Amino acid sequence: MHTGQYYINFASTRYMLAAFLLASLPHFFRVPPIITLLTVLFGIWRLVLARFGLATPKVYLRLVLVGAAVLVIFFAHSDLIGREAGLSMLLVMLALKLVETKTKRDTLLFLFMLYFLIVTNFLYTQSILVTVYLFATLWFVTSVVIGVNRQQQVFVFKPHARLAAILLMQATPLMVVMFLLFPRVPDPLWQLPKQQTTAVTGLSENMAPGDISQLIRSGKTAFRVKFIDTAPPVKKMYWRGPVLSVFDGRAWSVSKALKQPARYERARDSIASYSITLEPTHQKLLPALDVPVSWPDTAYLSREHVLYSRQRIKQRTRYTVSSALWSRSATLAKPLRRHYLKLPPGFNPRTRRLAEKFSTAAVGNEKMVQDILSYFRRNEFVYTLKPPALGKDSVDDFLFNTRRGFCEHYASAFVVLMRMAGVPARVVTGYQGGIYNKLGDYYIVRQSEAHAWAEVWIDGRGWQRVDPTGAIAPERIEYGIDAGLDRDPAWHRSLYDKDNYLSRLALYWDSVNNSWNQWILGYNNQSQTRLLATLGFSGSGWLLKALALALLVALLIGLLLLYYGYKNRLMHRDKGLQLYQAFCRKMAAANLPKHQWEGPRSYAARIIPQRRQLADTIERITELYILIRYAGQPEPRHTRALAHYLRNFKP
Amino acid sequence: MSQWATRLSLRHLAGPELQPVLITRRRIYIMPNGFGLLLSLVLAVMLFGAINYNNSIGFAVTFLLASVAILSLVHANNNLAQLKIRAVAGPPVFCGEYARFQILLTAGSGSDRYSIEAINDHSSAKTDIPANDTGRLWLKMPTRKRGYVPLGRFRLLTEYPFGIARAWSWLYPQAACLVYPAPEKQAPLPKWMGDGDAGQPQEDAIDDFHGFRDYHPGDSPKRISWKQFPADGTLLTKLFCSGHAQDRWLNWDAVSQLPLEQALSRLTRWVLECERAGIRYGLSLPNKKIGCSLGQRHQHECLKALALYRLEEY
Repeated sequence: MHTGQYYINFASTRYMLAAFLLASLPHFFRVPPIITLLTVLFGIWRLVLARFGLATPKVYLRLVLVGAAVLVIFFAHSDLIGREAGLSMLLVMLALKLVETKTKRDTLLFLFMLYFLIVTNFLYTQSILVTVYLFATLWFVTSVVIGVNRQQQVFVFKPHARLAAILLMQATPLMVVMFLLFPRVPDPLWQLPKQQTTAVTGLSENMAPGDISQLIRSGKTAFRVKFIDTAPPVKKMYWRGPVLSVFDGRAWSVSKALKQPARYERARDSIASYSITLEPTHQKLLPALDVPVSWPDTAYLSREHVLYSRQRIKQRTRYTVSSALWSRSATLAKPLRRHYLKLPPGFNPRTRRLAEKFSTAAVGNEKMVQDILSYFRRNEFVYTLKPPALGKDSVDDFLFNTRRGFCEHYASAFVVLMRMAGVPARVVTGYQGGIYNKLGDYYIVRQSEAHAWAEVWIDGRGWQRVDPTGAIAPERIEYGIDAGLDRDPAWHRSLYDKDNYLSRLALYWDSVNNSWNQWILGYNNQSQTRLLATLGFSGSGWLLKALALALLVALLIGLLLLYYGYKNRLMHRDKGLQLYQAFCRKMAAANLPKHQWEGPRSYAARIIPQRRQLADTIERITELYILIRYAGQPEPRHTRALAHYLRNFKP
Repeated sequence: MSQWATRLSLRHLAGPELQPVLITRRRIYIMPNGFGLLLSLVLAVMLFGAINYNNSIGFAVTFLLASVAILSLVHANNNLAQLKIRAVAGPPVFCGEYARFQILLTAGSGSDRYSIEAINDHSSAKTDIPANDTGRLWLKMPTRKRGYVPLGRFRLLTEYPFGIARAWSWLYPQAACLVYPAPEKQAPLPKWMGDGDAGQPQEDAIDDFHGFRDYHPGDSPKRISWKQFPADGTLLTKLFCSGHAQDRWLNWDAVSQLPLEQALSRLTRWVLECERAGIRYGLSLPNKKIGCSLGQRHQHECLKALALYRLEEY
């Protein structure tokens, strides 16, 4: 590496520090505050050193600092190898590197490491805004790299920022080609130990009172749905999640046995086909409408018609499902019937008496369902996100004392009532409804659409959905959860539901995000194969991709070179000089080379005595050359004449 | 070697070229340097991470930077391409001193050039060149014998813009610097010098017509040989050795017993001493006579004659 003379001064230090801060700013919200503080302090220290022209710290001091920093990181994270600790380490070590930077080698190393720091941000988020911000940062870092390479006493930024912009723009088509064609592998190569500190919101396999109301308070998107043909009405969209059939008197949970895959003939009339883009949940559940009749091979349908993925959903995942909106099951086997009637003994005596009253009064189970629903409607049950606490006999407490609750209370109470009355029943959790995004023609289902309802077994008709919450607040089923809340808990939740420019903007932004997720973040091995297939290349081998990649990259670089070559061709070419050079070569071949210290005239004077018979031609050539070169704007006729003399010139 | 170079259309490697030399694209070489290796290491780690976490934007950034790195080679090439190079020899030097050459670099196309460095075995210099302007660099060559020392081959190189590769071009423009003989250090001075005395008188103390030389502006019109002018149209100045008491001849005969180079060195020393003492002097060599005079130009004429004495090729 040739480094030559290099100046690190206040100006270049400021820009390096600015680049560092820009690249680490998003990380400052992720690492412990002490790490941010340490990083910023080291930065300020470097700035002070540069401002007053002080020497960088000696080796032993740097070693002490490294040791101290490692200790601080260890105490802040209680480990050193995890992803979070690694990030803290990267930040602090880069700050220390900046402190000791004084040569060009250090500077470039530091700046190249900033590129790495930029990339680490994308492990945490790949949202559009952060991506735009970090690409701007990348431009800044590149400008500083170019500025450093100019190696001048005065560090200037602007012209180099311009060149960096040109470079980045020219690099973009190359990047797109590489992005599309670089062979992707489906599975990770190696896993860094990762801390599961981030709680992911989503449906769980258990339902204790209050679980769903927690979920409803989150405005996060659960998944987005695009219907392939026509969408069913919003109030019929029940996205089924875990089916809860085991009750311990307080909480409901999933039966492990019934979660197992079941064999189904898939050929049933589908009513709706749709593809869902699911946000990562770190669970296996794939929400789907009612009864899926066709689903991807990587998933299976449980014995309770719930769709599960074979792998945990760790990234945003897209899958396509067809559903029948309801099914006709023939019979319920005896053991299953027993399972769906099971209740813990000794709980809720008042509810049991109520259930017995219903079952004697009603003619048929369907009539009994209606009776219970109208019971909820008549007795002024209140729908609230903040229900009061319930005692040991929670259903008794709810039905006869508090009468205030949320969908899970109603579903739970309803199922208990049905079971006590001898009707097989189960709780279903999932999502209800969705917000239509006109711009992208898809539905957004948020965590706040989380819901719980019931399914009862009606002989001859099979499992029937009953939504007891609908009995209290019917408008909730029509318009989504927000209408049922006591008051507006968060502005963004109601944002979609009013029709004003803000809500349209929010929907527009969501649609942009959706496209970003699908086409850019979701681009993978399969999309790559599909793309190549559309272009007419069958097969998904990496060799094909690599070849296409190499060819296109070479083509693009070739085009750029052609462009610059063409630009140069437009420039004036020194024809006179070329011709005179040819003359000198001919003379040199005749053992009369021109010496370096000779001008054209003295050269002519020296060679004419050696070639008397060519004296006139040599003189003419010399004079024409001098005319062309030194008499201002060269005239084409002189050049032509020179070419003419030279053509017939044989020394 | 040179024939091969010519045949392979690598003419610029063959030998000295006429000026100005235009750096065309085909004579620019480019090679990644240590920083290039470093960057590719960083990029490899980034790519590995992107593959491992299946991180789309990670891929995008890695590919963008790789593309920038590749394209920076094109721009490094552009930084040198279409530069017009001229080399001008500096003032003559005494043998043993460094001969200096000014390299003039004209940026032809309309873009600024940054961090252009000229390097030969003995020196290097760096400059920026604004668009459509000329940058100037100095290169040095050591001198080992009198006569002309050529600038020889040198390299023009740049690592701008990204610092990860070095682009260079070999240049060999025709340029040579005159080298006077080195003045002899402990040389005995002529008897008439140094003792302050005017010394022995010249043989003929009257104005003595000595010969002609080409007219130089500044010569007295009285001395122009007007008789000669109509004959061939050139102006000649008549040279006299005036009968001035201080006029001295530096004669070859006085040093002819010495080895050639030492003799020339001694005469060189004497020329310098005369010039310093303000004594008008003339130089008489077996093949050349330079009439008595004093001053920069006269000194140069004498020293040049000494520098090129008996070197046939000049």
